[in-house]
Amino acid sequence: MQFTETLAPHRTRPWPGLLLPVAGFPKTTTATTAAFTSFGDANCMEQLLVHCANAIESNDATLAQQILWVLNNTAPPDGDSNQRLTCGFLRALIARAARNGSCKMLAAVAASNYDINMAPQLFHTHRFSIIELASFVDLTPWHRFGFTAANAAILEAVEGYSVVHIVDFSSTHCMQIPTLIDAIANRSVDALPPLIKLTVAHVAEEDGQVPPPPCMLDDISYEELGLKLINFARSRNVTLKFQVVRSSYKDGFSSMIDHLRVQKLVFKENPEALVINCHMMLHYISEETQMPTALIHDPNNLFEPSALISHRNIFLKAIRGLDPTVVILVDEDADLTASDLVARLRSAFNYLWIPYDTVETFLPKGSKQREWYEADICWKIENVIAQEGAQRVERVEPKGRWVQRMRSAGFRGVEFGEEAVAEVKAMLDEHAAGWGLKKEEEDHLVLTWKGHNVVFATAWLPC
Amino acid sequence: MRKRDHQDSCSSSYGGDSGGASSYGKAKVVWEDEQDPSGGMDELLAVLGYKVRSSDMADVALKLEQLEMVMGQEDGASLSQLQNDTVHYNPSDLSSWVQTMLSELNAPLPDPVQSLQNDLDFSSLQNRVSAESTQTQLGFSDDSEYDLSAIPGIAAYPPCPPPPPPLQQPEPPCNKRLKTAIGSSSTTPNLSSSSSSSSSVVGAPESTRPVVLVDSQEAGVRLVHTLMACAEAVQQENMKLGEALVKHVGLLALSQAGAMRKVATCFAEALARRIYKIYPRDSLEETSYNDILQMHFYETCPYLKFAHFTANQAILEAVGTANRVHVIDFSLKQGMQWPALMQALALRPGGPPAFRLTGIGPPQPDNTDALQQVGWKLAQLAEKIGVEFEFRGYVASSLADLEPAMLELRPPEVEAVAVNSVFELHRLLAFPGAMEKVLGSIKAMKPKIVTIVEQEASHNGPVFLDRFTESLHYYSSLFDSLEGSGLSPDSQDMVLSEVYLGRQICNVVACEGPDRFERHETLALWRSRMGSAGFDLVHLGSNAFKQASMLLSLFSGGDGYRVEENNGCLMLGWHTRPLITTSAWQLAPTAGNQ
Repeated sequence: MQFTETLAPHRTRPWPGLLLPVAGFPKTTTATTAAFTSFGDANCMEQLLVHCANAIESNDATLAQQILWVLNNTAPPDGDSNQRLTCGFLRALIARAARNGSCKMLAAVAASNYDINMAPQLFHTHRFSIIELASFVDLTPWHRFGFTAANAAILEAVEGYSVVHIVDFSSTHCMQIPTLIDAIANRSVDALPPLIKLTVAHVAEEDGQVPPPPCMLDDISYEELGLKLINFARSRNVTLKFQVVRSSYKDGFSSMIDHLRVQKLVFKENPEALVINCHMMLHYISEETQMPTALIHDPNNLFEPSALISHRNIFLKAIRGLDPTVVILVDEDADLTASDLVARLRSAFNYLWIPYDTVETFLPKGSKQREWYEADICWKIENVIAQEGAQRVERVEPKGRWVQRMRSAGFRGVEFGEEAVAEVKAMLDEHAAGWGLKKEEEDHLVLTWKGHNVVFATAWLPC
Repeated sequence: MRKRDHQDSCSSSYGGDSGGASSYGKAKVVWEDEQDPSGGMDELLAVLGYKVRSSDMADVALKLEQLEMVMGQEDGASLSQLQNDTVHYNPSDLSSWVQTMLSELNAPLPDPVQSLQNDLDFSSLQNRVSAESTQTQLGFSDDSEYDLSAIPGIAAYPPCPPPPPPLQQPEPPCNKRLKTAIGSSSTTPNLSSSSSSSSSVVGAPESTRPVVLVDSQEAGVRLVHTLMACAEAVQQENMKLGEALVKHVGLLALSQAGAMRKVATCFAEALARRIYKIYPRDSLEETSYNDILQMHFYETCPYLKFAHFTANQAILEAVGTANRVHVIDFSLKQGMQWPALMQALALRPGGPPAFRLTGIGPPQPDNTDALQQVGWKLAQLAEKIGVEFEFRGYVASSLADLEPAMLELRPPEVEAVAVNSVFELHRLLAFPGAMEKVLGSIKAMKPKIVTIVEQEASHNGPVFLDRFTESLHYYSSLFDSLEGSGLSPDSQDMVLSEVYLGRQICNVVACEGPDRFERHETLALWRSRMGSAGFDLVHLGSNAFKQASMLLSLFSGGDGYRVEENNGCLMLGWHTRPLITTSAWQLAPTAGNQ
């Protein structure tokens, strides 16, 4: 028969389904497994997501469709924490597929009000009022841990200074500062409290758009924020000077650095304590993997990747040049920088289960706040998975890499005092039992959830 | 290879079209159908790439029809003269061109029947209308058009690969003349591609209006006309005429590109098979090849994937939290539908159910147990994903041979049964009583859900010509959608998908009686059939609709695909034409109690 010779050897892939995952596949971090209530499912979900990502990346529409179908049916947005986590990744993969040139109908998908599983708020994050944000941030130790540890370390470092200049690089719009003012006021009962100068980086609009991440504050008015802080400080008998400097993480906050250099010259004769407080903000500064592709693919580019320009290192060296009294670096302890999508997906999946898992402990199902909280995580997942290049800003690095950067910039780590540790512990007591505090090498503090690293806090002095 | 087969059967000379005129006596019916918005006029012309404003369409059609009527009164040569005209008015002004022709012919609208008998004096008309192409005219001066022995073999097909021995008559002595007419593009530039359109403007004797060389769009219109004329000749059992026309179709198809050419070629092959009574063998081997062809079809376009997703969705939702799920698949094929369902069941909250699959398939040519091989692979998957799995394969030449007792069904409270049929049930319509028996068997299986995927088409009417017209529209849309898949036209998936569809066309058009098993019927008919058999429609939820839309929009190249909901059923179509339908059914309460 005429078809025999052409067809028999060419049975097209009859089993796309066989590529589906294996139950009980060992996880990269075996310790994670204990944390899941139904870890087999989580493993399976991760494997399915990985296969799906591979299928999308290799333009295997048939397989991608099959897995997307399975995931759609097994990861409802209102399911358990693993299902919601998977759902977040699933949507991010769909968004990626829709952006992918190979998958046509991009516009159609975007326009078709993709509301599968009825989540119009998909990548739409909530904007808080200042008061709302303050109580929102206090719901979980995610931010509070860093606030508490940092404030204790700052308090110790600025002891004896009559002027304290705090430069706040923070993603939470000064939510840390009232407690700090309060602590400074309390410590200075007998003496005159120091003058506090607060300088805040304001990530301003570019080309009519605020660059990501989405601003958490509604109609952010720094005047209003500053006024509230000044009033609060006055109620504590502390004088606060508030200043906003427009600056962007994209160029490593260069305009802020310039501003601080000038300040340093101006106040040369009048020594002040310079506190650089970096709270979950530095991971937005571009790092080595975020090079223009033209440069990477340029055969004449003889630089090793490590020799490529890093705005993160430049920023830290510039900070070092200001000779600060103390630098606090708090950030999420994960690696979301891999260029390879699958590696990034695995890494993000094995980190971002934590916020989904913890939410059960502090926000009731169906509450508005929970919706906002999870929308923030979804936004992050989408950014890590679906975006590339300059649009992918959630480039979280693990503690180890930051430690290296700090050291090569000329800093040495300092220990958090017993007071700091005690305060963090007291703060954690207000939250669910799963949270824990861990001291790692060189006395870095690490917030943990069910034994897994969540956020690290480090304090640094110039060498 | 199939293409070559086709070309053999359609290899034609140029002489055969002269008889076409008489067939247009009834063309009115065709055009009237197509003027009906639901009759697919737009679609037909869209397939042709014809750019006529839809608002003008009815008018153009009417005029064309009138023109054909007039021509139909004449000796067939007049039509061939028109068709092979060297010059035409700009096709974008088709309407007025036709009008001009009409007024010049100045003939009364004939009675279609009468027109077949009338034999008006042709000379004056000829002088006026066909003065431009006397050379072509000369080619038809003898009376040999109907004589098939006058038709040469593939000599008239320069672009053909070296052909196998021709199916028909040896080359006649008059070959030379015909060769001249065809082989030289200067005498018949209308057969060349559209690249020459609007390039050379020549004066028209009748008017000062500029005219352009005919382009492939007009050739496309002629192609469809000729196909229809051929089918009509077949309907009237005028096989000589049909034979002549089918050869002309093959020729005209060459002037087309893409989907039009392919679909016309398939239909020409099917018509030729019917005319020459060379029926495709439905041997066992053919069946197993068909499975392989279907897999390529699966890869190429979203239809089967849509079928599987939507049916699986219905099954998944229907079995709910049952501890045991038993799917009876009426056409297991390569089992492509089941890995995704098994995976979804594996991740079901509360743990996976035991999954039992009964796969039914036709006997294999070499007696290999193809079903067991599929079952074995599925068992491997089940083991990997931690699903308790049981497989049983049943070889059956017909579903009607299936007895529920053979399936060792467990009571409904023990296992939830789902019956699944993708592109299978319509085959039963070839055998009286078979459908009733099978629906009765399904009822005896006491299924939670019955999922049926069928072609959304009307290919089982009693009149051949209706079936032909329906299928021409249907498969034109399907081929059109394949073109939009973004695959290379030469890719194996694409070519074999076309072969897959070509076989269906062949069956619809060429076969009769029990051999004609592609008896596609519309949802409306299935609904009444299922309803009177005691089944209630289960609405496929909006979730299924959204998912199908999302999966489709993400991955099926081209934006022509449309998912639509129709009375709780989901249809996947190309542009405005639904092409396949998924429906889900459950036993009506009374039936369930019996």
